[in-house]
Parts: sequence; C-alpha cells; structure tokens
Amino acid sequence: MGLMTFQISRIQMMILMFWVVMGTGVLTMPLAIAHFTIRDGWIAALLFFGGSTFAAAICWLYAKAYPKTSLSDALVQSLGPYFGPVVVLWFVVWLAIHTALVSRQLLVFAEITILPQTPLPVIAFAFFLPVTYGVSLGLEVIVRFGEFITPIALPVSLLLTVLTIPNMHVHLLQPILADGWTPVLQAALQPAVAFAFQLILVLQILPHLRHPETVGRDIFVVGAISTMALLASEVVIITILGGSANYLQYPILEAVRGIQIGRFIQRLDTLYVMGIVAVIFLKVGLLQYLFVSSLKSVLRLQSLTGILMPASAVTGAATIFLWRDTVSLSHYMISITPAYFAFTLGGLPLLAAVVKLIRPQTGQTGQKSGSKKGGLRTT
Amino acid sequence: MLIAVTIWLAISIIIWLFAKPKIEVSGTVASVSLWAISFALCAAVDFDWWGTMDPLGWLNAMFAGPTEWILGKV
Repeated sequence: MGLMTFQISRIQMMILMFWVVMGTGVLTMPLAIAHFTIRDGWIAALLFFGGSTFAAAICWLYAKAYPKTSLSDALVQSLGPYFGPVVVLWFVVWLAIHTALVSRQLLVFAEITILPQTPLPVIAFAFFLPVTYGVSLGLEVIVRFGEFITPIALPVSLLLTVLTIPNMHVHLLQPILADGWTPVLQAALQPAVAFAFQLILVLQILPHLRHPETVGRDIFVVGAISTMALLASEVVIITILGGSANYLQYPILEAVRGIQIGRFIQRLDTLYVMGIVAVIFLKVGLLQYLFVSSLKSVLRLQSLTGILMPASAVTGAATIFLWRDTVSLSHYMISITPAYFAFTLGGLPLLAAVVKLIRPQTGQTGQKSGSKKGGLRTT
Repeated sequence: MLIAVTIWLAISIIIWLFAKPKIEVSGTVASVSLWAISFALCAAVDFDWWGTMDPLGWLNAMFAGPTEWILGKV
C-alpha cells in the first residue's frame, strides 16, 4: 500500500539484493562448487566477484538508458507493443520458475532439517500463506523485513563463523590449484552467472529507488560484500569438512553443527536453520512480488488484488510439479541455470538498453505510452 | 496437492467476499486462468499425468547445451 510514495533508499536496496543472492546462496552455492572442486572452492568463490561486477555494469548501462523505468516496461517501450509483451512474458515465466525453484530449495531444506514427517505440499501451503500476505502488503513491507532481519542475521552469522574456527584445519586448503584452473573455472560458472546475475533483478524495482542513478555502483558494492560472505562460508566448509563436502546436501549446516562449547552448548545449527528460513522467506517474497507485478504489467491490470492468491497457487504448485526430486533439482541448477539466467537476466536488459541507444526517439515515444499503461507502480 | 489448492481457493473466495473489490473483466480472466493452471499442475502431480516426462525439458533442450559447451571450454 502506498507504493506510489514509497522510495527505497540505497542501503535498503543493498540489504535486499544482498539477501537475494545470499538467501539461497549460502545454502546451495557451496554444493554447486563442490560438484567440481573441493580444495580450491574458495578461489571459485572469489570469481563470483567477476560475475557481480558484470551485473553491476549491466545495471549501470540500463540505468543510463532508462533512469526511471522498470525492466518489463522498458522491454515494451523498446521492442514495441507486439514483440515487447512476448519478451516480457518470457521474463514472467522466468520469474515464476525461479520463485518455484527458491521455494523448492526451502521446502527440501525444511523437510530435511526440521519437518521430516511432513509432506511437501503441506509445507508449501504453510510457507506460501505468509509470503502471499507479505506480497499483498506491498514492496515496502518486504524491504522493511530485510531491514529487520539483517541486524539479527549478520551478527549471528559472524558469531557462528568465529565459533567454527577451533574445528578448522587450514592444511585442507593445500595444495592450491593442484588440479589446475579448469575445475575452479567450472565451479565458478554457476555462482558467477546464475547467482550474481540475480542482482540484475533490481532493475524491475528501479522506479521505486530513491537514487536510481547510483544503482550500478550500489550493485558493485553488494557484489563485493556477497563475495566476502561466500568466501568465508567456502573457507569454513573446506577447512572443516574437506573432501566429505562433496557428499553432503548442505555442507555449511554440517560445519555449523560441529560447533560445541563445553558440554552443554551445541546444536547451534538451529540458529542457522531459523536464519535461512527467514532470509529465503524474504527472497521468495520479493520474487513473488516481482512475478505478480510483472504479470500485472504485461496483462495491463488495474490492481494486484485479483491475482495475488491464484499467482501464489501457481508458484506453489509449480514448486512441487517442476522437479520430481532433488536429483532433477541439482541437474537444473548446475546444467541449465547458467545459460538460462545469462540469456534472461543478462540479455534482456542489454537488449532494451541497446535498442534505446540505437533508436532513442522510439524509446522516448514509448516512454510516454508506457507510463500511461501498465507500470510497476501498484496498488 | 489438489486438496491443498482447493483450501487455498476457499480462503481466496472468503477474502474476496469480505473485501468486495470492483469486478474487473481482465483481472477476472487472469485470475480464473491462473487458478486453472494451478489446478492442472496439482492434478498432474497427484495423478502422475506426465509419467517420467521432465516439465522443464524445453529449458534443458535450450540451455543445457550452451552450459555444457562453456564448461567444456574453460
């Protein structure tokens, strides 16, 4: 509510995008890296910075071409009233599939760690109720939730990292690059493309940013902070678990589970599970909001209210339907997402920006019509 | 899953009745279409309509090749 007046500050945007990457990143990026290399996984984590810098460059270029326009509106403006909505529909489908993917990752995580006897549809039902309620309240609530959770999650994460130090065996990092660069570069592909390019999603909420002109610089900073966080988690995993990280579904969870202070303080992974559920809730909330608002934009609806519940039903059902098991989920993440995300998240903003630069007069004309019809400014 | 989505629909109808929003034709069409898609997805899971078929096979066909190509090049 009141989104016409609500403007996201730079720090709010950086917090939001940090959790968009690290919400599931801390859970699944180590798994993707361990698929190719264990010992040199920390170098692959550093290469995430390259992908995030490229994402920042795309955001900078896009913001130059469309300083106050969301990605879906920019695509309609640049590609015309017929081809534009088709491309936006591709983006909407991507959002639906990605929301379903992140939700499924949370459902599997919840099933393994805290709800082993509960069927997935029941967990999905319970999870999508608060998500839908959050989305119905608008973008401001999602952003504020990010602000609320960060002062709790960051010190706890830092504390857990410090507490794992006694269990670390630094020699497990050596020898460095014993197998050459090939496995490191292969391991870096998924984080540096599929995860780093998710930062580009900020372009869909560009009209809500108080300072859209600094979006490139801000995303660059978020990328640098995310790289540090990913590097820390990789070092913890490698130095504590070593080669066994390759056989674990959630390596970081096992590393945290090993923390023991005296005889009585242990099983601190409970804190970790609570934090993960909270930040994935934030990520799914944002993705679901972007999905619904993009759908509103492409269908030129007056408000979100009519499609909130059915849109959640679609993503909730797709969460179970699209991946038969965790094997197909891992295959999708490792074999499909790098090229799919590069094409969608990298290609579409570049396409819109390049068309605007080549045909500036078309963009201006479209901007007028686009502001009348279907914007992202909702409810 | 069909039971879950039916309960979801019932909650939605109750909220809709209490909210009494303005009826918008395009919004109603979009809403009904989305409900139909969600029921179809749930039925596909519950009755295993698609057997062992991969629902994301089209994405696999389009993007698994380029990803493999990049992995092979580095």
